[in-house]
Amino acid sequence: MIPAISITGLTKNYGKICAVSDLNLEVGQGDAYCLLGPNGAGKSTTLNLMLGLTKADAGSIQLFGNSPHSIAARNATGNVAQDNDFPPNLTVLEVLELVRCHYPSPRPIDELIENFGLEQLANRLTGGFSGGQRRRLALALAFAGNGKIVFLDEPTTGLDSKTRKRFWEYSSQYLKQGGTLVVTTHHLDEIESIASRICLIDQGKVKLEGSVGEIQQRLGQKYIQFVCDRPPELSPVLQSSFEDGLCKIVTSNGDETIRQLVHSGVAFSNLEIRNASLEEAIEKLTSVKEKAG
Amino acid sequence: MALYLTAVRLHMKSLIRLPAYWVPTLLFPVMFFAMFGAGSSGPAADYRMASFVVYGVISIAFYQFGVSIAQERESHWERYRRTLPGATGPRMASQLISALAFALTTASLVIITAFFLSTPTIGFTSIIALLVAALLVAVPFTFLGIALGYWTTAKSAVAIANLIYLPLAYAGSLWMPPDRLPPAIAEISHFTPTRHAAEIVWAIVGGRTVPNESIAWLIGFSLIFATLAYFGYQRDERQRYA
Repeated sequence: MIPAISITGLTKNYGKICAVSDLNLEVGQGDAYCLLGPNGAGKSTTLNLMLGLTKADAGSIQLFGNSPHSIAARNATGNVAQDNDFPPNLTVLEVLELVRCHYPSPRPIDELIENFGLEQLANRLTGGFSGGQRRRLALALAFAGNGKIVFLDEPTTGLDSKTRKRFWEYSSQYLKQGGTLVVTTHHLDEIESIASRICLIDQGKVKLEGSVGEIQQRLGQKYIQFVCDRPPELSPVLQSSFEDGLCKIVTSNGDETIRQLVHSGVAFSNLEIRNASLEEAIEKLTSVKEKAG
Repeated sequence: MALYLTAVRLHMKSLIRLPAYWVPTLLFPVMFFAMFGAGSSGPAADYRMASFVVYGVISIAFYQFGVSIAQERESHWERYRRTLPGATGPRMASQLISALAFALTTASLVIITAFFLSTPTIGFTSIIALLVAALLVAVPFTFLGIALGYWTTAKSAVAIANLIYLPLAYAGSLWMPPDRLPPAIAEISHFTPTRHAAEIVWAIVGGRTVPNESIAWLIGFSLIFATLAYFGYQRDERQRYA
């Protein structure tokens, strides 16, 4: 199966500043691909290059085998940028109509209005919209073209929790129907439920790439907690705390820690063992890198 | 085709919802005619009518392109719109067609007012020729408008447009006949694009041959303004999309 996006040797300089340097990555069809990295890491530049908004100095990008500038690629993509505004004297319905008419088989207007909570705004001019209202319309537009890839740059900024939840539900529906998502975000907790692959970019290069499970495993950290009267003596663990009868432990060798706990003779109950969350894993990886740097 | 129709219709709609745009551009030429052109008769009435038609048509060409480009190029919407399939054609068509519609509307309003407030002698064919000529002489001002849009900001565009166009209209003899201009201004007048635009439409309503000299001047101005517009466009592309 042809990849949704394939990038090879991508390089982009702004004067002497190298925004993206020899970047390679591949996004499969149906992936929920998450681009992470600190501000200025090159995420936005990569996104702009994939959207055909800027030209690369070297390397190539293909969306389903087509250049991002081609009509075929544009027909197959939708996107939401970090900042949004609209023609101020058009209503929500008119803006949706204007965008939809560019695409060969757009999504139904009613579906978009309903799923992005635009019912009350449908006939209002977009000029006076709040940040959250603009965001909802921008997200609806990203999906309006019924593209096979949707690029989302910090999609949930400015949304209330209800709209946020609804949006992620809609996104997972879109994935189930075979769509591909490329998302940049700082809210790792939100993306964890839908992300299939993670790519950590820093200084224009890929620092870490893999499926969510791989990245969690790569750290190998286990989070253990249980209820007990007194904390057991365990070694070596990365972190431990004891408060109100609840003992929390972070360890790099879960099996060994559990063995020690059983042999320690401490009476425990309600034992829980889990992998590090994505956010914890990424935080760990980036802080290791920072220390090394 | 449906894409073009929708884009043009929605662009027209958004302009109509902006009285701050269409009240001055559509009504000022009529108002100025009422103030400076009313009461005349015979050929003088024809010349006055032609002058204010040209004043109105040029102001649409100049302001609509200038101000909308200045505002849109700074917007996030413009950036988004570039990512839509085949967006350039419909966008240019909606600008051109709505400018054409507004230009013909303001020209018609001036002509109707002229027949109410003065006694022109020209017939139907001359009026059609006047309309066509007015649209053609507006070409250099369209380029000037585009240049303005790329070299000013959204906030300064209207003010700078006024600073350029109002003196040009005055010195170019669009508001009053050349013999009523102060001597110094009458000297400068021959070097303004507005004066040569006026000379062309005066020749048409006066039944004279269109002066080649004025056509040459307007072609020259078109080249200069188009070059300015082109470099402005290039600069904007480099800054935003390089």
